[in-house]
Amino acid sequence: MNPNNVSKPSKQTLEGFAKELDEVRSETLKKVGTEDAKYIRRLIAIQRSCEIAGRILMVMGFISPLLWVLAVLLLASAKILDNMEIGHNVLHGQYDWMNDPNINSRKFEWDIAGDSGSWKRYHNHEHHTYTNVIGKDRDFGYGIFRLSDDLPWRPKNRWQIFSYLGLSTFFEAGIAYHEVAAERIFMGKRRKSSSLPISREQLKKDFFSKIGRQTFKDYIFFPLLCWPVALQVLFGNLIANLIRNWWTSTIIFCGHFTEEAHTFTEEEIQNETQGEWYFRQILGSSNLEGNKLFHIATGHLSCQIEHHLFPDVPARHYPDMAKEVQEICKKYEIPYNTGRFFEQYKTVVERVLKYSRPTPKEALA
Amino acid sequence: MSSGTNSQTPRPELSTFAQKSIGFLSRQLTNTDSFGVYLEPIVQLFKPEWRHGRISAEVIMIKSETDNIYTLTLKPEAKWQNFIAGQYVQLSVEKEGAMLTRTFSVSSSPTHFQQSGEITLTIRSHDDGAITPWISRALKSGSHVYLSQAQGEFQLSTSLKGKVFIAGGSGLTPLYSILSEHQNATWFQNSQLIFYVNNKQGLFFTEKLSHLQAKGMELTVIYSDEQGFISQGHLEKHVQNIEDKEFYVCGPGKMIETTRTLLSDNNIPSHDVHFEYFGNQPLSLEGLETESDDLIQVDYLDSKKQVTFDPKDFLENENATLLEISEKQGLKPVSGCRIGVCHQCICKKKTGRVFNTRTQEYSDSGAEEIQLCVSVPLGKVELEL
Repeated sequence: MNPNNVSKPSKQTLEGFAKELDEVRSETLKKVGTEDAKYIRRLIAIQRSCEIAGRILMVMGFISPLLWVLAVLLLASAKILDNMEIGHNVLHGQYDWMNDPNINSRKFEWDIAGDSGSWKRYHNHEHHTYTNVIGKDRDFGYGIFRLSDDLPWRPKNRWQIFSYLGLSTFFEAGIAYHEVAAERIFMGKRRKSSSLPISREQLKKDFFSKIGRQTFKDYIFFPLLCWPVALQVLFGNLIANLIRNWWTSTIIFCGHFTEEAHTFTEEEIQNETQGEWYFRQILGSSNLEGNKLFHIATGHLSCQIEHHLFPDVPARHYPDMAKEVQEICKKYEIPYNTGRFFEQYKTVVERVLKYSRPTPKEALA
Repeated sequence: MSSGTNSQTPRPELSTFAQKSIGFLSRQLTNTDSFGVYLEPIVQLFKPEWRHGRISAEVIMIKSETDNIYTLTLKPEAKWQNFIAGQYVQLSVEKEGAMLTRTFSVSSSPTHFQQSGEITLTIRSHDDGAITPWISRALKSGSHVYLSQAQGEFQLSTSLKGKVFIAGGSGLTPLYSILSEHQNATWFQNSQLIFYVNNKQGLFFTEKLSHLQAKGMELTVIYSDEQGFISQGHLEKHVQNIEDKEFYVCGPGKMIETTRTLLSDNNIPSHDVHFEYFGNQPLSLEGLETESDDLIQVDYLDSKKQVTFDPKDFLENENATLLEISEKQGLKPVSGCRIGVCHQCICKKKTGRVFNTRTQEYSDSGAEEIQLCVSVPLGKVELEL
């Protein structure tokens, strides 16, 4: 089926729709305050405790392998919390109102190979503004996958399920390389029109400095510090990073590549009104259902729809907002894509597989 | 707050090789500038008021002085060094999760601090302020606030001339600190305080002032509701041998302006006129629709540039956001979506009020992070750019 078969409501209808969503936003913002500050501080405390405990226990692996396994899980959890519920949301400016020099989108740096400044440029701007617009949002398929018939089939697409598994495994490298690839820093023809607000040299410098920092920490400093058990620590850090990579990429793929997630053309978004923007964000995103712990582990990207509607509202409010957004969508007969994690993920894998084959027309040609 | 003799005392931060190395290691291992920042949330589990790099102070007492003036007694932690009478501190409070900062003169004397470990700030509550009414409502003895080290050049000069102190309302505070500190000095016998308040209800520190009076200071209280604001007539009536005096002035912006003009008309050289703008400097555009005669001014602290606008022209200007203004000045702040979504153009505003076109909200005048692309300056704004 073609997910793009949804008729777009009139501009007027969408105006009323936008008003109701704006209302949800402003009502939620009224609630933002002391509890949110406490929440994020507590969460960072938990993340730091997991990391410190993980790194210490990692050394104790020689006592029992179980301790090592526990250590890896703790470190992986710390990295997941840091990247998802803390880093992703802080970098979206959700906590800038706190005026805290260490918990704000300008200063925060996360425990991942990708430089936060680079990520803010392409993710916050490109991806959140042009969500699922073919040719504008490089996050749709990352220039690697064919996920709709908007792109012509190429022979390399045949093996894209393996590229997917590869990207998932080395996801942090993918995130780090994203903007560098788009700007063709190392290879390819230089982009004709670039809106890169920093110099290409700076971009290159930031890219290497962040990757260097992460490599130094996990694969040189801590292993050497625990010399007799260096390999055990190095291997543990590697596994923790891989667990984080698999988890984050899986959740993120569920956000925009499920079966029902729509795509858009550049013409469609010309002179887009707020209502039309909201409409597109909802059609292009999909939610995952789960309990509170699951939401936190996903950085509330389980509420991808609400995140795309209200990217700078503290994410812990998304599950409550989701109920209201779903009601409003029902009223305006706008499809709201949500489901259990495994069901949604299954459709992602199916989508990757489906578009690895040419359309019947292309197959005939 | 800006003092007449200008320029703030910079806080020299010695970074030795060891400190630099630790900072470097912290960035490599924790992605934060220091291990203190990294561990802060964990320390806060046990000591919620702890903030890395900040000096906390315990609230001892809040005492109401008049309808809208109250005195906050604080006990700063040991890191806080003493101050010079007349100086101010930046007071930060965490209000509903957000750290807000304002400057206030210390209204007690350094000697009092040495004896008791306490200082007082005497604060006028602004009805529409975000902090001043809130402090007296929300804080109580045992609460915690944060202080900067004392700052400011407004203090006693070495001049041997007779000293005249002119205070307007809560502008009394730095003057009282100076007078109280030096009550046993020889010049004190030849000193004079002219204290302007609206009316009897606006009067505060009466006991403290009569104590100083008993020590030899001449006190003149003027109710401006009855006798009007400062004028040539007042000076002639209350100040003898005006040419042999030096002046210390603190109060509302308008009052200081008037006093400075009057004194200069009386041929008092400017080095004998010390002044401190008190409280929020007059805001030029209280709402974007209101007009005022004051200038709109943006000071770029890092690139040492300045740009000013006439408010009337400014309102008709289509490119009024700080991002557009900055770019016109040839500055290239990092920017992105230009509609307030991507948070790339965030910049530290040191002082001044801005209007956020996205949230339709007015900012505070204190230091905070703002998004340049949706911020319109409302008066004098200082940016770290």
